[in-house]
Amino acid sequence: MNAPFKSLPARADQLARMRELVSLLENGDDAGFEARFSSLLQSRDQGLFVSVARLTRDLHDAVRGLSFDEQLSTLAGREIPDACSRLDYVTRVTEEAAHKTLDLVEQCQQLTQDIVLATHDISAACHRAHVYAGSPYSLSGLVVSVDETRDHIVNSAASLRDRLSRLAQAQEYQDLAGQVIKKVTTLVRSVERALIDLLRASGGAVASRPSDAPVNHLHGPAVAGVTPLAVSQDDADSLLADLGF
Amino acid sequence: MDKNLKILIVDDFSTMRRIVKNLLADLGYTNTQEADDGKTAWPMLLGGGFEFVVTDWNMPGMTGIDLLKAIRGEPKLASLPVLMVTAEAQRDQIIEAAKAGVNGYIIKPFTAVTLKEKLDKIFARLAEAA
Repeated sequence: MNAPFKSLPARADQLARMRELVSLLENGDDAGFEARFSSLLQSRDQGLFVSVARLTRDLHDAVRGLSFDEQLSTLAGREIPDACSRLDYVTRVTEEAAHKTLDLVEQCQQLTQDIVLATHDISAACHRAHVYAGSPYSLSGLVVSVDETRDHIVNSAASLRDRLSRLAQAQEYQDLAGQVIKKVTTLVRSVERALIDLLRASGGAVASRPSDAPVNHLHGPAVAGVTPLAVSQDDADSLLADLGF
Repeated sequence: MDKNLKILIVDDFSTMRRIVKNLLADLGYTNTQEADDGKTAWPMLLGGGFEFVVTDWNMPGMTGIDLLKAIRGEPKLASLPVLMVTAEAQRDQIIEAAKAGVNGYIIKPFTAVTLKEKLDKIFARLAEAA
């Protein structure tokens, strides 16, 4: 955005202005000095305004450029105009997916229970087969009962398979959420870069990488490569053991 | 351990509360209730009857560490076992929780095996102390 070194003509121009200021001061021309000095400051401010205008335009273009692809916008149900609402969207889809997954898990648990109960029916039928062995009448009733139980198990297995594929399907949120987060982080990085450029353009030094600044005293989930001081469960266990736990 | 133990699950994320509730149910502990932060949990705990608390750390309103300190500071609740289940994984934080009197510390994401291990360990220690 801003050239790191001043061009030779610009440097010569500045030197000339400074010499002029010095000679005005030496000659006691206070009014002339003030006028020249203000105009010098003004020219610096103009550079700053140009940078701010450019940053604003870049930001505007970046926000406009963040349009959802077709699939994502269908899933979102509506156009989400800014980065914060995109993150709200991520929170929502991940929460929905987690609840959908938990619903399906609970249904699967019930189905496995049904299968266990069905095997009890089979055991009972086998027991009856032993008791009434040799009687053709009760044997036909037994066949019907075993047939019913078999159908029950087959149905439960089919339901279980269906729930499992829906479980797999519910994981699609990760792809969608990941895409949105990437778009937002790209925007944040471009704003960060633009702000650093702006700081440099206005003559300020960047003391440290802005993204290193702590935002919250709580650290939240450890992210590999970002949270170097985070410990594992094993480390936590041995630390607590050292403390007498 | 008595499987009818009355447990309070404190977490601001409803999905995490559900996951903990499910895992506890799998281990046989079905007598559970939920609160979405320390502020909601506090009157429930004072109301009495809870025998175990599973709490997150980072929550709006009242954090898990403040809830733990409040529990240890209230004579009626001081001996209530508290298991912290949190994404906070800094050494200083684990030491802070230990000093505040936590009974167990689980770092998210965690597994059913870890939860069982920590519960068993807490109950074994409580039985020893009794």
